[in-house]
Formats: sequence, structure tokens, C-alpha cells
Amino acid sequence: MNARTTALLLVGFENDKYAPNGLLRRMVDSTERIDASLARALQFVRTVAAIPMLVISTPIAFDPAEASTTKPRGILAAIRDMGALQRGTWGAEPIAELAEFSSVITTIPNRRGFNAFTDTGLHEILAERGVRTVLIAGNSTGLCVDTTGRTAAELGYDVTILTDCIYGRTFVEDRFYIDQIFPLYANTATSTNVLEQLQASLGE
Amino acid sequence: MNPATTALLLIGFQNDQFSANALLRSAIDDAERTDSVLDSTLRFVHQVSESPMTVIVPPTELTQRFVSATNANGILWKLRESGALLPGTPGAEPIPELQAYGDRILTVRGKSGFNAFLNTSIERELRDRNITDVVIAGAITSLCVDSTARTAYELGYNVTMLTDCVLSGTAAEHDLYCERMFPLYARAVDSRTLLGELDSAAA
Repeated sequence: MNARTTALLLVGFENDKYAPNGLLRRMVDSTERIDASLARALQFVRTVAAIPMLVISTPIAFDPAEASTTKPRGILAAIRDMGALQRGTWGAEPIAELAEFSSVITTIPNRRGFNAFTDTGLHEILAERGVRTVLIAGNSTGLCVDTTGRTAAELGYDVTILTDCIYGRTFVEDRFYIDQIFPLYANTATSTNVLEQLQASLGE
Repeated sequence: MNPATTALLLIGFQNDQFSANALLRSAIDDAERTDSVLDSTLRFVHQVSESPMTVIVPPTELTQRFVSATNANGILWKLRESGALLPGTPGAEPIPELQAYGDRILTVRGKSGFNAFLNTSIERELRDRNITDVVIAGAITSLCVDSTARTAYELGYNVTMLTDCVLSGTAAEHDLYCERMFPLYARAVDSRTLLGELDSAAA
């Protein structure tokens, strides 16, 4: 793993997902898992902000003006109907903790579904920067993290899921994806372990 | 659901997965599950073949070019190294039970990974036929089936997963996907129920 050809993808760090009064926290069986994964992710961002590595945030938001034409279904429609992640609202804003890293985070604003590569230009941005390795942190484990991770793998990136920096709706979902699903297409590692590899690459 | 605007996607119904001595049968913890999924699927295909429903088979062929670009520890490499689903081999061909349908089934080539929409003409075929609903059966539940279904969902199709026609490696995988994951973006229903609905809609 070489820091200069690696990008960290922050998937879904909006207020509705992480803030204490975020609308979507009640969809998760234990808010402690949300808070623990956030603490680890922020610690990781703080460390990599000091090294030459790309950090990309891909927030999801629903545009009320589009609702009549795009007709989301399933969980995305349920999220929209709850009034969560509406473009232009506090809930869809990046969490306040990321503000201090705004100079090192590239935000790609157009994600409207599970997959951070769909209609966002993410693949082009990664290709332009010569990125080979993609690290993923965020939520939720079985939806946006998994869909984005698979697509990255199918596009030819070497993918590592940061197992302590993600959360899903339930503990069972997290364990199943980390133990059974992610290893089918990606590497899984803790943020501490990945930091060691990145720092070693800069010393070479 | 109107059969005329519905497409059935049959994922991974290839000799290496489903034939009697298939290489990949060992990846399924219960041998009977493969046969049960095959029986249910063939019964469903037989019924809908007499309706206007579009039926598409996108066989997976693990090309060296595609697989070598993916994670070397991943399942696609392991499958290729095991000799499964290699382009041009009998194992990669659709099972004879489906080939018997001839032109009634549209075979779309190009799938080399999990997602049947990637590097194939499926999206165009669906658009050309004014398809609004996609029904999915096949193998493996957590891999090609899930990736393909999510993409169909993101493209705006109404997606239906046939719970008795998707092949999972383990019972735990099957339950997690059919009960917890598929309902987030699709309708999960067994093939007999869906057939009953199609019959009553036609009546």
C-alpha cells in the first residue's frame, strides 16, 4: 500500500447518520457502534491529513425537486419519507467534526443511492490522481459501504475496508459482512493496521 | 406486474455451478440446495416462457483481463485458479435445460465479475423493450445476485427477488439476504407466489 496512490473514501458522514439528534440513528441497534466507528474514523482522518494521501467524502442527499421524477423505492424512499438526508438541510450536511479537515477533503456531492460511483465522476477523479488503492470508512456496512466497495473492486482498484471505521444497522450485519462478504473482493483491516502500512510506504 | 414489461434475469445458471458434477457445487454447504434452486427456477422459466416476459441469461466468463485487475485475494481469482467459468469452456456455458429454449431466451455476453450490468448490453436490452420490472434468480445470492439486483434498483427498476430460486453458500447467508438485505431495495417472494400473481393478472 502506497499512500501516494491511495484514496480514503468517507461514505455517508452526514449529521442524520452520526450526530446525536440525527434522524437515522434510530435505525441502528446500538448507537455505541456508531459513536465508536466515528471516533476511529476521525482519528484515522486526523492522521492521514498529515500525509500526502487523497481523502474524498461522498455524502448522500435527496433533492426534493427531483422526487417526482426519480421515484426512489425501498430503503431510499423510506429515508426520504422520514425527511432525512434532504439536500440543503442540516441532516444532509457533513458532520461538524470534519470541518477542521475541510482543506484536505475533496467532497463529491452528487451521490443519490448506495453506490458512490454512480453518476458522481468518482472513478474519473481517482483515475486522474493515479489512485490504485481505495480505503473505505462509513456506513452502512451492508448497503453503501458494500456496494461502493464491490464497484471499486470491479473497476480494478485494490480495496481495503476499514473494519473499525464502519457501521451497519445491526451487530450481526457488521460481523457477517466483515467475516464473510468483504473478504470475497477486498482486504479487511483495522485503521491502526492500515496506518502502519501507509507510514511504512512513506518511509521507503 | 405486467409480463410484457418484465424481464427475468437468470444469473449464473452455468454448468460449472449447476451440472451434476459441477466444480462449484462444493462451495454450497448443502448439496440439495443446488438441486432445489434449479428445480424451482426451471419450473418458473417453463411457466413464464409461455408469457411475453423477457428472459435474459448473462453467463459469467472469468476473462484474464478482468480478473487480473481485481483483488488477488478475492473470490474471482480463486474461481479462475480453480479452473471454473473460464471463457470458451463447457463449464462456462449456460446449462442445457436453458439452452433448450433456443431463441426464447436472450443470451447476453460480457459479464466477467459480480455485476451483470457491467460490460454488457443488458441496460440497453431492457430499455429497448420498455422494461419496468426485473425479476432475479440465480447464483450466488450474496455476490452476483445481490450486485446485479442493486444495480437494477439504482437504475430505477422495480426489482423482485425469487427467494426459492437464489442459491446461497450457507443457510445463514440465505436468511440474511432474503430477510434483511433484499427487502431494503426489492420485493422478496417465492416463485410460486409470483406465478400465482401473474396468472391472476392474465385472467
